[in-house]
This record gives sequence, structure tokens and C-alpha cells, in this order.
Amino acid sequence: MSVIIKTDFRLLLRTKAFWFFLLMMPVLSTMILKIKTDSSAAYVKGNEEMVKELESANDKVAYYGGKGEYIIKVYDASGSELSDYMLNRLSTSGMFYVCRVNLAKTGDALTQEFLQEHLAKDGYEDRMGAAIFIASDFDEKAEDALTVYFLSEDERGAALEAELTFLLSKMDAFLGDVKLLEQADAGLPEKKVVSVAVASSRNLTVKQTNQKTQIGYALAFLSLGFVFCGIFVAHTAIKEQKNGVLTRIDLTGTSTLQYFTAKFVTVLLVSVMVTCVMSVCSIFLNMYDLGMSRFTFLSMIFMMGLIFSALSLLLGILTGEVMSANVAAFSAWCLTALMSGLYFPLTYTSKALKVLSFFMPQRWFLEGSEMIFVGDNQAFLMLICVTVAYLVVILSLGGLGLKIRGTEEWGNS
Amino acid sequence: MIRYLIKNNLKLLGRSLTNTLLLIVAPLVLIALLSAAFHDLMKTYDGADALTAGYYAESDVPAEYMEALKQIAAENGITMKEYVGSTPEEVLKRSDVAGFVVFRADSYTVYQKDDMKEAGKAIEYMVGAFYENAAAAAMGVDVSSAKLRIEQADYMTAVDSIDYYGIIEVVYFGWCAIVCGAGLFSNEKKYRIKKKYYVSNLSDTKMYLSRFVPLAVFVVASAIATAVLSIGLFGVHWGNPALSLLILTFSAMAASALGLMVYEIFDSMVVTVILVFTAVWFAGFFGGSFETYMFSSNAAILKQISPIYHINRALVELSCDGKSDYVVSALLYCTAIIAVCSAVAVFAGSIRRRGRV
Repeated sequence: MSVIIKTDFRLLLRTKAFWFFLLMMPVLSTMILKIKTDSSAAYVKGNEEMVKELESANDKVAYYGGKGEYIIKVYDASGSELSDYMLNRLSTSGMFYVCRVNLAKTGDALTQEFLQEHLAKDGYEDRMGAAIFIASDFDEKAEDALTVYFLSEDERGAALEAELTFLLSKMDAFLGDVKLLEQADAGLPEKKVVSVAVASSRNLTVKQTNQKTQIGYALAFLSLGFVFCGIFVAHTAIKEQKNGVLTRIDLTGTSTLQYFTAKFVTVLLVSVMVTCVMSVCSIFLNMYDLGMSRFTFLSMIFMMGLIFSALSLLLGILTGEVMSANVAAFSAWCLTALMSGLYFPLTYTSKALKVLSFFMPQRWFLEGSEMIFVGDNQAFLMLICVTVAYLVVILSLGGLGLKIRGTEEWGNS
Repeated sequence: MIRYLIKNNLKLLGRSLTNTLLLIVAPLVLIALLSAAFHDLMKTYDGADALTAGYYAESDVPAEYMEALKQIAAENGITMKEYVGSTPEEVLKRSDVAGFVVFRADSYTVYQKDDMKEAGKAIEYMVGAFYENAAAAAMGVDVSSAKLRIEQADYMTAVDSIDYYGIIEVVYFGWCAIVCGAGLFSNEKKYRIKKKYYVSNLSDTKMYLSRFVPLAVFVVASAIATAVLSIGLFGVHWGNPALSLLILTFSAMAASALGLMVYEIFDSMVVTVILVFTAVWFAGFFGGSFETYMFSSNAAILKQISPIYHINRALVELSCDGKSDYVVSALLYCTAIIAVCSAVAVFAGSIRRRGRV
């Protein structure tokens, strides 16, 4: 058995492609992860109760409504203090998300054609609760210079109507003097808004939820290197089947179990090698963003990588063709990553999909990371059990596959 | 004569598991995944009729204020329930109140659940509006003196992610039609069946039809099966059944014609698949098969060129509005593709044949 391991290893080390994947995949994955990490600053939405300034009248506002907010697009030709005041009050009231394009700054004129053209676009090629057009003489004419177009059947439109009527009447009463209005508003009670995370039963804070998302991406990208390295070991197994080497090994009295264990030990050693390269690359990763110690993180990556390398080995043996093995291993990786909730949350999927996601290894590692965040000591034990469970299933299927594949070839193909 | 060929080809297409996987299972999986991913972005506000909000008022808040607030809240469908002795976070986690407000003499804090943001905002708005109106009344301001100008505008009814992705994925995979025929056509070449066709008395058009008809029929049947399954599994709402069916049929026919034309020109399945997939990917990208066509900021001209844009828009608007201006353009575009591609395919086929015979 040790002979098989040594031979396989020598073959692997002689394959240039193997070295390429061993060294390059972790580096590439870390690079991609780094890009993702840097953009995660955008996750924590800043001050939501402020007017969002748009660069141009053609900007779409649909994506600001990521959670069902009531979006209002304001075409403000006046750019005056009074319109600023009104829009600020509107956005701080809490119910609306105001996006404003200052037409005075962009240089567009609020003509009838402009209005019709943008209204058509807003209705059919964008998504908002209402569009408001403010003419340039808003300071003098107040409510006559403002038109509201409701562009959805959202019930909160009634609240918008009420709020605008209130604001305009108040501005009328104070004769449009912004200073007086602000003085009057200073007498109102101060408001503070706090968001409480009750999403998961483990009570993750907002920061921990972001960290979990980061771990998810890390697991997704970093496991790719393991998949490819596992494929190389699978290739040796396939070639041995085709060249009749397997038959000759069988004749020496080596049992299928020993042969398969030898292959698995090779996979294990390869995984260790990839993890070592990964640990060097992880120096460039910010552990704070990931929320756990480097050792914990690397052990998790190693365990998951081991599962995927073993899976590649299994698929290689079952398919018996180099190309098919590649395709199968890659598809398995893709599909399991998609369905385990790494790229997007599974909160709104059906029950069936949620249950299915528990078959994917990545899902269990996400659970494990959650447990690590909240300081649950059982996390490691659980992850080790999960890894062992997957490996047992994969190895049994692999052994079975070898038996079924048979040893008919004598090296003619 | 070609009736037999058509039947035969249809049977061969139907027996392949890959075809079923590609045209039925793959769209369903993608519908489930993409609609879940985009659910939040496209959801419409579910106006909760009755909300409960917890509150705690410190001793220096006048009792009349709280009574007035509770009454206004009740008029707006929000029940205010007092909680003494627990922190806001505890109350939010334990019970199903939509939010919690702590009132002090000259400030208040609104605690919102992050998975019930909109309900929390409704509560925040109500409390804010109460204070504003109270202050305005105290100053003697008439808060309904302004007459707001509201005009009517046309807009598309909001479509939710399940309906949208349920429809466009069926269309998109229908356009990958030629892949279904890949096994069939490459085997024709491999086993020299094509040469036998060439020396038969089949005309070029008949040869083309013997491929086109089974492929189109198979793709249409799979698309319909997927659509029916999507209605059953996900509750997708398709619009006007007759028109939707017509559009789907024409879409599948156009896809088959396009794929066959490329195959006849290049005679290699690999090249055909690469070219067709790339073309369909771009058409789908601009046509709203990945990012919704409503939200994407691609140039209008690029969208109009993509046949998938017209088909998607027609079907989606039929589903949510019940009518669409794009039905005619979708049908015309598909008819044009069918006509042109079929003509070119027959012509290319005849040149290839003459070259041999």
C-alpha cells in the first residue's frame, strides 16, 4: 500500500499541471476573496434616513429598494433651501427613501417633453413608489410648483400624500422661511432608531452576520483548489484502470480496500499540501473580517477541502473518463455551493430546498462558523463529526464504485 | 415520406435523459434559486393590517400624551402595548411585536426588528407624525391648507421575483434548443446516415423540415411541461394562456431555426453550440434573463435587438398587466428569424449536398 502511495505521489509531483493548480488556485482564490472582502464595507448600510443624491436624471432607483422600501424619485429643478428642507423632512420621517436629482446642477430643463419621457421610463423601466417633479419657482409658488405621480399601488402612497400635505401647509404657514421652520422643528423630541437583529435563533449581531457572509464566500472560493487537486489524484486512478495497472495490482493480492485507502491517503496528503499553501496566502486575508482565529479558519478550510478532494476522487473513479471526471467534479462543487446558501440566503426558498441544503457540506460549515462566533465549544466536535460522516459515505461509495467498475482492462485501451 | 423521419427523430429526442435534464430540471432549479435570491429586491409591500408595537414611557412623559398617541395609533391600525421591566431587545426577541418605542421627556428611541424593517418604519413614522402634528396644532398651524397636485401616470404593475424568473427561465432554456439535437445530429454524421439522406430523393427543404419539426415540437412540449410544473411547484402566474402559448411556440421555433442554420453552415456541433450559446447568452443578458430588464441600465437599442427581450417583455407584461404592446413585436421578430434562418439553412444544406453529389 505504501508503494502505491509513493508511486502516485511521484506521478503527481511530476505533473506540471498539478503544481500549477496547487500553487495558483489558492492565490487566485485569495485574490478574489480579497476583492469581495473590500467591497463588504458596503454591506452595512450607512445613514438610511438621508436624501440620496443622484448623479443624473437617467439613474435608476430600483436597486435602492433592496428590502421593499418606498422609493421616491424627485426631479428638483429649484435646488432651493426650501426644497432641501422639505425633502430632508420627508426622508427623516422614516417611511420613505428619497432619491433626488438636482436638475439645476445637471443642467436639464423641466419641460413637458422631459417630464413625459422620464415618467414613461420611471413607470416601465424602473421601480419606485412615486415620482415628484419640482419646478424651478418652488420658493414662490410652493404647492403649485410641485406635482406628484404615483407609480405603484403601494398603500404607503396615502402616507406620502398626507405627509406632503402636512409639510406644504406648514411651509405655507411659516411663509417659506427655512430658518423659522428649523427653529420650530428644534422643539420636537429627538428621535433615535435602533435595529435589533433577531434573524437567527443564535442571535448573531449585525457584525457577525457580515462575518458569516464572508466565511461563506471564503468557503466557496477556497475550496476550488482542493477540487482540482483531488481531480489529479482521480486521474491517476482512471489511468490505472485504463492501462490495466489496476488488474496487475489486483493480481498482487492487494484488496480493493487497501487500494482505495492508498488513494485516499494520497488525497489527504495533497489536501495538507494545499492547506499549507493556503495558510501562506491567508496572511493577506484580514482575520478580523472573518471573525475567527487563523488556525480555526485553516482547519475548517482543510476539512472542507478534504471532503471535496475525496468527492473528486469518487467522481473520477465512477465516471472512468478524464473529461467527464473534470466536468462532474466541477459541477458538483458549483451546485453544492449554490444550494447551500453560500451566495445568497435561503430564507425565502421552499421547505424542500432548505432540507436539500442540509445535504451540502458547506451548509454544515456555515453552521459551525455561527457556533464559533457565539462561542459554542461544540463547534469543532460537530465539524469533525460532519467531515468524518461525509468521508465515510464518499469512501464507501468509492470502494463500491471500484468493485463495480471491474478489472476487465488488460491495457488495450 | 418525411412523416416517418419526423416521428423517428422525435422519439430519439424524447429518449435522451440529457434533454429532459436540460429543458425541464435545469430551468426549475434556476427558477427556485434566482427567485429566492431576488425575492427581497422585487417584493411588494405587504401592508400589514394590524401591527402591535411595544412601548415604555418614562415617568416624565405626560400621561395625556401617551393616551392621545395610543388613540391615534389605534386609528392607524397599530396597537400599542406597554411593557414594564424588560429591555426592548428582550421584548423584540420574545414576542411578536413589530417594534418597540421608549418614550422620554424630550426624546424617543424606536427599536426595529431587522427582519420586519417595514413594519418598524411604519411605527417610527406614526410616532414621528404624531409629534409633528401635535406641535403644529400647538402653534395653530392649519395642517391641511395645502392642496397637493397629484397626476395620473401609466406604470407597469409590480411583478414579483417568482413570476418573473418563472417565466423568463423557461424562455431562456428554450433558446438553447439546438443542444437537444446535438446527440441526434452528431450521430447522423457519425453513422453516415447523412450520406444516405443525400442519395435519397428527399428535397433540401424536406430534409431541413425533417430536422426542424421534431426539434421544434420537442422544445415546445418541454417548455410547456416546464411551465406547467412551474405553476404547480412555485405558483408562477402566467398571463393570457392562448397568447403565452403562442409566444412560447414561436420562441421555440425561432430557437430551433437559428440553431439548425448555424449547424448547416458550420457542420460542426461543437462550433454550433459555442456560437449559439454565446449569442443566446448576450441576447438573454440584454433581454433581462439575468438581471431584470426593468432595472438594467443597458442602452435601449441593445435591448431592442435581442429577440429574447421582446419575448420576455411580452410574457411578463401579459402576466402582470394582462396586456402588452410587445406581443406583436415578439411574434413578428420570431417569424422573421424562422423565415430567414430556415431559408439560409436550406440554402447552406443544398450547397453542402451539391458539393458531394
